[in-house]
Formats: sequence, structure tokens, C-alpha cells
Amino acid sequence: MRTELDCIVCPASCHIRIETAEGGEVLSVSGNGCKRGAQYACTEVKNPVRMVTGTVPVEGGKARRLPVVTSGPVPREKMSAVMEEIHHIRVCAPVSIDDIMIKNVCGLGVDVKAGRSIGRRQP
Amino acid sequence: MKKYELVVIGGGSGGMAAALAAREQGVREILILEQGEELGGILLQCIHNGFGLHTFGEELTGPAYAERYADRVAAEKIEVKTGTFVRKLGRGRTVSYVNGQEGYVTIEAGAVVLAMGCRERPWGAVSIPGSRPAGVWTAGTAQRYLNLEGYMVGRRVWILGSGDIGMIMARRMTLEGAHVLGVAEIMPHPGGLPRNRRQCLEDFGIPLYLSHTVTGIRGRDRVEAVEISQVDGDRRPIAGTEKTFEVDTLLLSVGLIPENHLLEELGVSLHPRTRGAVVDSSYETEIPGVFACGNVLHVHDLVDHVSREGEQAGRAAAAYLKRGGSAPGPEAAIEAGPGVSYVLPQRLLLPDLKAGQAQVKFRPSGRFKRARLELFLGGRLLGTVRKRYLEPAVMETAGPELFAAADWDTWDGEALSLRLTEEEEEP
Amino acid sequence: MYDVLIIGAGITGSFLAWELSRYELKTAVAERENDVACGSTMANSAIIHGGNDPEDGTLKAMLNLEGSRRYEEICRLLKIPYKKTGSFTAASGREEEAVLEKLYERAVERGIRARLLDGDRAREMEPHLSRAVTKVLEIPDTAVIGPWEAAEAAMEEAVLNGTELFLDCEITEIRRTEEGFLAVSGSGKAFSARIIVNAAGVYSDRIYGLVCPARTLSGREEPLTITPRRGEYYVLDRMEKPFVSRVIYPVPGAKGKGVLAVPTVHGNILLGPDARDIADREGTDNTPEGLAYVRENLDRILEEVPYEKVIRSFAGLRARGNTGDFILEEAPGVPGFINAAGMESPGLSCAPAAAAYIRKELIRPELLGADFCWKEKPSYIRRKAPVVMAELTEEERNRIIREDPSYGRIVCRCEQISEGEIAAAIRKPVGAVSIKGVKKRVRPGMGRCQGGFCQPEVVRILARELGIREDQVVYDRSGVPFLREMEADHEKV
Repeated sequence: MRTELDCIVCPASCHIRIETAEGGEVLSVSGNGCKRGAQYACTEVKNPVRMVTGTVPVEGGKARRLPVVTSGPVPREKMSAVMEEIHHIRVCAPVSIDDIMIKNVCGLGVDVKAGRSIGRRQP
Repeated sequence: MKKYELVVIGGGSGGMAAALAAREQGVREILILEQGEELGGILLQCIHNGFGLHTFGEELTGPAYAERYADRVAAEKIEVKTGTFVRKLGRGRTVSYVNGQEGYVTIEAGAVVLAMGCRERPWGAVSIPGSRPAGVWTAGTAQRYLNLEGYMVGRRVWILGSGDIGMIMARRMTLEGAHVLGVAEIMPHPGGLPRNRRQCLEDFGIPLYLSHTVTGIRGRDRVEAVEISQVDGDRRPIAGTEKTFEVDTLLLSVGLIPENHLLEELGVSLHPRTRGAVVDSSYETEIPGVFACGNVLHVHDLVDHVSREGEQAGRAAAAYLKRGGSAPGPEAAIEAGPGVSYVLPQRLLLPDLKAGQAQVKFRPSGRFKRARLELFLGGRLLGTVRKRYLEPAVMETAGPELFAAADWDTWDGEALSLRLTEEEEEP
Repeated sequence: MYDVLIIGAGITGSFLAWELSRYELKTAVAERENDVACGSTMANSAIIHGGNDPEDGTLKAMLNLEGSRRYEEICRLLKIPYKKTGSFTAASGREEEAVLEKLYERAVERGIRARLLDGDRAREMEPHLSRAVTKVLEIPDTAVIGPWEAAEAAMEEAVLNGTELFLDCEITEIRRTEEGFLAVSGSGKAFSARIIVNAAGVYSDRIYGLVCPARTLSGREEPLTITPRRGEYYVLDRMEKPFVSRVIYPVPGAKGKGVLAVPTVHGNILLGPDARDIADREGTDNTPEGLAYVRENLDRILEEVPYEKVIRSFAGLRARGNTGDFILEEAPGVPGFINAAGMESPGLSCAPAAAAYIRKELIRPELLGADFCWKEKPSYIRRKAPVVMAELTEEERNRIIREDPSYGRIVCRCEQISEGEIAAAIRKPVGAVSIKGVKKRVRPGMGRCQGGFCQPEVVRILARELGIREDQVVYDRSGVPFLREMEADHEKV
């Protein structure tokens, strides 16, 4: 199979073409200007990963929403599953940045953590 | 009248960096005035990650980036007034602000750093034909509703403008369950970074319509549909290319404008391209002791650059305070020539040029694969630097290498100009 | 049983309610929208014309003169802005100059202050006047007001003095009864009234049709018909030096007063309107043709028009009747049903005078009871002027902020409006119930950012003051979805 994508490693934005076998094995990479580009293209084709961010409601905080972020990238096709989990989070202030909201989300080996600190709202 | 050494207007990334840099240089009485309820500015609603690779060597979310700076501001015990709106700046560096605790107050500042950021170009400024129903928002306002307020603005969405905010909102809305039917970009090339194109549009199969714009909004009370048309080389809609999409929401990502009402009210003329102040190499505006940095000066594409510029302005303000006046020495004006959209600073201090410390930021007016960046004095070529892969979405810099070859001792006051030319492919 | 039911709370209905509220009378107003001033009143040129334009012998001529004379005092009473900017009507060349001279003569005959200036003298006063302009008619008493502020203030005072205002109340049925009428709204609210005044703007022919399907007019063959005539406008941002300081008219043509430049009471400039007859009574669309027409025509009388300062375009519908004049009369064959229809330009200039005319000439006392006579109320409650922080001295502002710190919290950066001012506009009688209602009253969202920064804050304040959830806040019309609470939205998806 042939996949085409624009490289995001540097501003050159090389247009890379990747040929893969049926099992997903990369047969050839062309159009890349550097090794990092080839590496990016291979990962992007074999196992693209993404960070996931979202927000969750906070009770009694100075802010209404707590932004959350995964502690590392997750497989791209798992993004919506992770979002689904994030949608179930409810928190009470105070929260500290990097507090873990979900440990090992969806069994992916990464956590969902607080993206910022939120203090208690003064009554 | 209460007096501070330095007043920083705006507590976002630029303002915090400026205050911290000035503190590092020994400025004691610093006050940050912030309109929002906490420090951080627009970063607080930019919950996606990708901030801080240059500054912290890791990719952070916007709120996390802001928190690192806010923590340092707190640790340095820099005074901050939040919920405070600055109404007026005086030529003698008086700053008038208002908040609920103190009411209307005017203070005096030894130096001022402007760091008010920018605002979005609104719906009205793009004059889209059709009705004016609920359901049309600028992308940034929608971002605030989602990320700070906790509200979805719609379910079926069209986005006009492929700038980074537009694309980031396309992903954000999709991940929250909305259906983004497409993004229209009036230019023949995408507005934002390739990374966002990949991760915000292609990941979700959101089509990008280049050389297209929205030519109609339908729906009396709430958006019911948008009409998209292809545009010609002069960006005029081509009759017969109309397509209609049923959506309940239209988000606009059609440009950012520096928030310069304080300078406009002072009668300071703004640069026609950047729509920010004209500054010299110490980021000082035409008003002595008033410095500018970040998106209020020119719209940036990376927060790391805003922080750097804030530091430069903060250090320059500290030097101004120490010196008791502006940096001495004649200044060489530098203008954008062919291929360059703008150059900043617009005035270079001769001592900096002589000392090989001059640095400029510029934006190309088009895309270049391999370009010669040339410095001209009248018709005379003073220096050349080669650059690769330039595009308008990415700000570029050029340092001493551009200025080193010139003989600044014989400079006669004439203006410099910067040009970009595409180079022929090497054989 | 109401003595008078007014249908429609635009400028005509609101000033009529105000006029009637001075007297011992039971009045109700039924308005289909959730606010006053939602139709033509919300989108027009905002001018109090001098009164030399309408043809002799028309109601327009008579009521404009009267309205123009009274407005300054009315605005003072209602505590709303009024600015006597004066106006120029600009002629280029012989043919237009001849028309101008006629307008001048008519002004003199009607006792309107006027003078003719040559082009150069006029350009000294208005530097952006086109070089092509050869002669100008100056009317120094032309003024501008805030049309929806006027309607709202008039209605507020009427309500303070006993008028009952029913919003979201569209009359869909009118029956004649022994004592007068029974009018019923779509939601089932019934009004018994001795007299009905139909001030329903572009819908006034339909309202008349509910009680008189033939829509008969006195002395005419054809039935009452209203044609919405759309006018498109640009709004320019406030500038340090306003583009024009007077209303600038071209020489009037067959389709009205032409394309104007108007300095508003709030320091913006309106450019427009065009004039296009359309079928859709809700058709306030902007069109490329309409706006191009505005630009083309404006460029004939003005130079260096700063289109880069455009912060908004909009369109309004004039309720154009089919007689060429206002239709102010008791319906022939329907005693007690009064049409106040076809209130196109100069409807705003005439509204208070039209209200007085309706009361004095059209509302027959005998229909209000055998012993009815116009008796003024012993005391009349004046509306409280809203606090406008921008207009106060610093000491006054600080005194207010000490009492209520929310007046020190600036919500709208562009227009510098505080939370306190917004909350007050919601709390007051005839207060805002929508984002647009807030914008109409205190202007957040009217400035250069068009609400980008302040709209979420306005939503919070509206919800708090109205005691509703934020996702129940509406942008404009009631019942139209605006925001959805995120967690609720997830459950639905």
C-alpha cells in the first residue's frame, strides 16, 4: 500500500511517500529530505501516536474547567476511547498540576493528568 | 500619585516574561496589570500541547506553560493586579486603570512594557453575505466556551480560515463529538502549520478546501447552512462553484489584530503591516520609556518567541531605568522590500549594528524553497544570508551574519531594506 | 378589559404606549419578540430629519416637523442620547442643484433653518465631501438619536406608569366583540380591548387582515399591503477623528433619501442604506450587490471612505405601505381598530408626533366609555437614568464603585462597559433577556471585537441576573438553541 503525507518534523514539510506490505511492513520511503523525516513517516504509517487533551468540570475551583492531558502519546486510533474516559472525570478543587486523574488510561500505559493547578474558590 | 519603576500591561506570556527579565536585571518595583482573573492570558484556553519546546525543552499545554511563568512571578514576589483594565496610557508614562477594589486609579511608571496581546478579526470585518443568526463565532471565542466555560457551541460545524486556531478548533470540536464538515481557506495554500494540518484535519478526515471561502450564511435565528464558493486568483468568488453545507455553526479564523487601543488613543501611528507599534532594537516605541512585546507588537506563531521577545523588552526597560533614558545613538530604519511582508524592529541602533548585535525578525510574503535574504542600502547590497523553506505562517530571524559585512562607520543615515528572492535550483 | 391594546413594540408602539401612559387608561402592548425594538427600529439610519424632504400635504411632512421640534426635549425627559449634528445634502452639477434649491425653498416655507453653501465652503466644514460636490444644503437642526434606546426608554416609562408589556406574544387571532375586540396570541394569551392600535411594522397588513380580511383603506380601492424594503448598511469603528461630523445626504431620488453617512450618538459612522423591495418579511440578509451599491453611491458624495474601519454590516426592513404616505387611520368598517402602518422613513423622526396624533385624532373617547375624557395621571414616574460610567467624572465613578465593585469590573474592553452596567440593564424594567438585548442597551459587542472577548461574560451575567442556567441564555430570539452544556452534550451524543 502507498501512503503520502507531509512531514511535520521541520518547516521543509517534505512530501513523503511510503510503500508498505500487507502486514504493515515498510518497503520504501521516498521524498524525505532527512533521516528524521523517514523515521517520522515510518511511525506515522505503522503506529501513529498522539497526545490527547481535554477539559473536565471542577467543583469549587477558581476556574470552572480543568484541562487534562495524557502523560505521553497514545495510539491515534485510541484517541476517542481516551476522550470517552476523560468525559467521565469529575474533580473537586484544589487540584495541582500533574495530579493523576486516570491511571493507565484504557490500559495504554499512560496516565491522564491535570494540565494546571486550580485553587479553591473563596466562598 | 503612586509610582512604580516598571508597569507591565498584560499578564500573558509576553508580560510575565518581561517582568521576570526586568527583575533579573534588578528592577525592584514592578507591577503587572492583568484584565483576566489570573495570569496567563490566552494560554489558559489553549489546552492543546506543543508549547515550550524552545523554552523548556519539552512540549507543554498552554495552561502548563502559563503556570510555570506564573509560579516564577509569584516566587519573585512581583506585584500583580488581576481583574484590572488599563484605560489610558499617558505620554509621560502615567497609567490609568480600573478594578473593583480600587476603582479608577492613575499611577506613574519609570518604564512601561505593553503586552496586551491581540484580538480576533471579527465577523463584521469580513462581510459575509447572508443572514446574521446565532451560531457564528470567532474560533477563539468558541475555544473559550469549550475550554474555560464548559459549553459546546454546536454539533455540525464549518470553519472559515485554516489558521492554526481554526484547525485546532476543528480537532477540539471533533473530539468533543461534533461533526466538522470542512475548513475553507481563501488562499491557495493552508494558513497554519503542517503539523496542525496533519494532526487536526487529516487525522479526522476533515476536508480542507483551498481557494474557497464562505459566500453565504443561511438561517434566520440559528445558522442552518453555509454556502462555500471557489475563488479566483484575486480571491473573488467564482459564480457557479457554490456548494451548500447544512451546519448549525460557523467558526471564523480569519486573522488576529494586535490590541493597540492604548497607543491609538495616544495618536501613535501603527505599522501598516504589523498593526503594532514601530520599535527600535530595544523594543522601545516612539514614546520614550514605553516598550512593546508579544502579540501586541506583531502576531506570533509560537509562544516561545513571545516569551523571548518579552525578555528582550523587559531587559531593555531595565536598561532604560538604569540609564535614565533611551538607548543613545543614531538609528537606521529598516524596511520590508520585495518578498518580505514585514521586518521588526523597524529601527536598528547603530551601536548594535557596529557591535554585531543587531537582530531582525521578519515574515516572508510568500513561500520560498531556497531564498536569498538580502540587506540593501539604497541600491547597494550590504549582506546576504541564505534561507530555506520559508512560509508566511512562520516568523524568521536573521542575526549578525546579515549585518557583519557592511561598513557601518560610513553609514549616512539612509534607510535599509530587506529583500527575499527565490534562488534557482543548484545544478 | 384593556382600554387600548397596542400590537407591536417598535418605535411607533413604544412611543404610543408612552403617550397613553400619561393618562388614566388601561393599556397593554403585545410584542411577538422577546424585546422591544426588534424590527425596523433596530436597523435604520437613526436620524431625526429636519422635515423638508416629505411632500407637502402628507402626514409625513406634518408629523416630521412636529417630531423634529419635540425630540430634543423628549430625549432629555427620557434621559437618552440626542445629538444635533446638522446635515448636508450634497448636489453635484446643475440638475441636482435645481433639486437642492427646491428643497431649500421648502425648508424655508416650513420654517426649518437652512442655508445653501458652495462646494468649497462645505468642504471646509466636511473635509471628506467629494470634490465633485458643487452645492450643499445645510440643515443645522438635523439630529441623531439611538432608535432602540428611545423605544426602550419610552416603553420603560410607560411600564413604570402602568402599561402592561407582553413579550414573546404574537397576536394570531383578532375577533370583534360587543365591547371591542378579543385578541389572542399564539400561546393562548387573550386580550379583551376596546381599542386596538396596529403598530406591527412589516406585519401590520397581516395583523389588519386578522380583523378585516379585505384590509380596506379609506378612499382607496386597493387593500393595505406592506412591502418590506430592505436597506443595507456598514458600521465603521470609532475613530479619533470621525470621518464625518454631520449627516451627509445625497440629493433624494425616487427610492427615498439615498445612501447616507451618519455619525451616530455613540461615535460610530453608519454608511447606507440601499433600497430593495423584497418579499421576505424576515429578509434582513446582507448581499454583495446591496453593499456594493452602498459603496458606489457613497463614493459619489464622499472621498476616502475608510472601509477598512468597517466592523459590521447589517440590513433593516422599512415597512413600506402602498399609499406613499403613513397609514394612520381608524379602519373603515372596524370601529376602534386603528392602523399605524407603513411607518417607513421618516417614521423614527415622526414617532412621538404620530403617537400624539393617534391619541388626539384617532382614538375616539366615546369608544372608551360614555363618560371617558382624557385625564392625566396625578403623578407620573420618570425612568431612572442608567449609570453610564463613561459619562461620569472620576470621583463619581469611584463613589459608585465603592458602593458596588462590579462597576469597576470592565467586561467590554472596546466600549469599556462594566459588569455593573450590564447587570443593571438586565434588572431594570423592560430589561434585557438576551445577549442582543444587552448589546442594545449597554453596547457590549458593538465595538471593534464584536463581542469576541465579552460574550461569555455577558452570558454569565445574564444567567445570574435572570436566574436561569447559562445554557438557557439566548442570543436573540427566545427558544433558539445557543450553547449546550458539555457534559449534557456528551450524554446526548
